[in-house]
Amino acid sequence: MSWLQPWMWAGAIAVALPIAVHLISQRPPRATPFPSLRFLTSTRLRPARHRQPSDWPLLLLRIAIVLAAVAAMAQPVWRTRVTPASLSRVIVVDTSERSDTAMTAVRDSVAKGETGRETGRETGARLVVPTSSVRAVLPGVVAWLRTQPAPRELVVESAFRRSALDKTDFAALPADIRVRLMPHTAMPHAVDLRGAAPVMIAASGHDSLATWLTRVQPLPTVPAMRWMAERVAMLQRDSLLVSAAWATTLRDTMISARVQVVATTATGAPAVLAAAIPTDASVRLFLWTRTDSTSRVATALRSVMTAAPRDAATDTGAVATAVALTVAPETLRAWAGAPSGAPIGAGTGMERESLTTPTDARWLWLLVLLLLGAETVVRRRG
Amino acid sequence: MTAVLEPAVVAAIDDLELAARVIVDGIRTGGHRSPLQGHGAEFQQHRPYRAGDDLKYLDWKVFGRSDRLYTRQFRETTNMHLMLVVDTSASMAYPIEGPGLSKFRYAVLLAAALAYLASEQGHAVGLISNTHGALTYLPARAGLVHRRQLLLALDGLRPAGRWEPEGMIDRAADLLGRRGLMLVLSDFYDDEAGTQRALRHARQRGHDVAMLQLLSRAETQLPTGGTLALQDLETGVQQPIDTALAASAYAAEVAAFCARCQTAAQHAGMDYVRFDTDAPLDRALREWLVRRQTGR
Repeated sequence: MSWLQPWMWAGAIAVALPIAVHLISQRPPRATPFPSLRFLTSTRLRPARHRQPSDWPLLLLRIAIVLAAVAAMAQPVWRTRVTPASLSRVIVVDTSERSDTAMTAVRDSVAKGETGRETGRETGARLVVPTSSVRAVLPGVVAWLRTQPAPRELVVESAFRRSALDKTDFAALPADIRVRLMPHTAMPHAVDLRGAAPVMIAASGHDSLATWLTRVQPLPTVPAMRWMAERVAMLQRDSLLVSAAWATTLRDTMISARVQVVATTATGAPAVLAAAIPTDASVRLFLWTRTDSTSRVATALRSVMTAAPRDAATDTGAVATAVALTVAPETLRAWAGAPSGAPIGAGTGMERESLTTPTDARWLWLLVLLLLGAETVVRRRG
Repeated sequence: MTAVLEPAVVAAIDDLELAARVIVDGIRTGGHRSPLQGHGAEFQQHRPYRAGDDLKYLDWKVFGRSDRLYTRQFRETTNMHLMLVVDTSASMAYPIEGPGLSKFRYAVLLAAALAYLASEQGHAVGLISNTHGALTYLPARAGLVHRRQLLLALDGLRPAGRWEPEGMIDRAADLLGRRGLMLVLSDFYDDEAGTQRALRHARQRGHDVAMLQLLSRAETQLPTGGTLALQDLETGVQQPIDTALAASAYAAEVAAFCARCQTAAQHAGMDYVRFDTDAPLDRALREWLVRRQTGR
C-alpha cells in the first residue's frame, strides 16, 4: 500500500484535539440521591486527583475517526490495483553525460526491475530509449505510449542537470501516464566543457535569481579572463538585455564594486549583473538576473553563454571543467506530480499515479462514517 | 411450599387495607398461629397461693377438696395495646428509583399488615408519626372503624425532612399508657444515641419494644460508577466520592451500625429484626412472627 498524499499524515497531530478535550472537559460527577452520608465520614471521600480521560470508549472512537479521516485524505493506493502484467512502460535514458559502460549498467538495472517496484514479471509493452536529449524524445515517447494499453508509465533516467529539462516538459505530459524520474546514482562531479553543453545553473526558486556559474580550472589564465570579459561585453552589447524594459530591477544593495552591471532596463535600472570572483582553485563568473529562469532575460543570457568560447577557452584548455548542478529531488517530485490534465495528486517520491488507478480513500471515508455513527450512539448513551 | 408476595406485587396494590389483608392472608397460608394473640378470659392454671395474692382468685373448691390454697390464673382478658411508630424521615424514601419498594412504602405496608392482623384479633392499635413536621397520632383502639382510620392515616404519611426519634419514641411510650407493644419502624439513621436512649426508657417503663429496621440492599453497599456526587436525602448536602475507593469501608461501616443496633436491642431486652426491602414482605413478616412466637 502507498499514499498519494503522504504529507497529509501530518494531520494526525489532530488526535491531540479529542485527547485534550477529554482531559479538560471533566464532567462534574452525577448527583446521586443517597439515604445518608453518615457512614462516609471515615472513608476516603475525595476522588483521586490525577487526571484521566473522561470517557475512554468515546475518546478511542474519536481518535479512530481522526486517524481514518487523515488516512483517507492521504489517499491510499493498494498496489495490487496496478496490474504489473499489463504495464506499458518506456524508459528514457539520458546518455549525454554517461559513458557506454554506465549506459549498459542502466539497461541491466532496467532489465532486472531495479528501477521500479514492479519486477520482471510484467509482460506488457516495454521500450528503452537512450538519448542525449530527453526533451527532444519526449513527444515521440508519449505518442508511442498512447498507442499502448493502460496503465502506462514513463521512466526517465537522467542526471537532471538544471539546463537539460524543465517542469514544463513534464507538465505537458498526458495525465494518464505515470511518470517516474530517476536521477543517476553516480553523478560525474565535473563535466568536460569541450563539446558539452554549456553549464547552466538555474537559480534557486522560481521568481528570483537566475545564476550562471562557471568554475574554471586551473587558475585563470589570460585567455580565460579574456573569455570572461568577452562574455560580459557580449551581454552589455546584447540589445535584448539592454532594452529589457520588462526586466525587474535588482536591489541596489547587490551592486558593489566587484559587481559589474551588464544590462540595464529601459529606465536605467540594473537588469543583469556580472562578477568574476576568484576562489582558491578557480575563478567563478556569476551572472545574476532577477527574473524567472524561463523568461526572456534568462533566455537571452542562456543564448549568450551557449555561444561557447571555443575560440579562447576551449582552445587553450583554460576552461576545462565545470560543475554541473542537478535538479533537486524535491523539484523532481514536483515535476513528476504536476500533471497537465486533471489533478491526481503528487506521486510517491518521484511518481505520478495514473488515472486508471484510483485511490482507495472511499473505503476509509466509509469507515469514518461508520465511526461517526458509533460515536453518536456512544455519546448519547453516556 | 408457601407462595410469597413479591414486593412489586404488593406495591401495585393502591388500597392499603387490601394490601394489608393480602399480606396477612399470605401469613396465614403458612399455617402458623399468630403470635399476637391476646389473653382471653380463660382459665390457664393453678399455682400455690402466695401471700399478697388477690383472694378473689383463690380456688375455694380445690381448697375444700384438698385443703390446700391455690390461686387460679387466667389468660389476660384485656386486649393488647399496640403502638406503631413510623419513621417519616426523607432517608426512608430510598431507593427512589427502581422496581422495588422504597423503605418507607415497605414500612407502611408492614405497619398496615400488623395493624390489620392485630385488629382482627381484637387488639387495640395506635399510630404515631409526624409528617411535614405535624404530629400524626391515633391512640391505640380496637374496632373496624378505627382500623380504617389508622390505615387511612398510614396512607397519608409522606417521607420528608428529618425526624426526632428520641422525642417521638418517648411520646409514644407516654401515650401508650399501660404496658403494651411498641413497634418502631425505621432505618434508625437519625440520632443513634438518642434513639437507643429513648428505646431503653420505653423498655424500662414495661413496654414490649421491637426495633424493626428497614434497609434496602442498594444502600448497604455504595453504588458503582466511579466518581459520584452522593446527595444526602435529608440534608441535601452533596459529597463527591470515589466509590471504588470507599466501597469496602462503607460496607463495613453499615455492617457495624447494624450490629450496634442489634447489640443495643439485646442488651435492653428488646426485639430486633432487620427487613430487607428487596425480600418478599409476607415471608419476612411471617418469619419474624414465628421467631417471636417461639422465642428463638
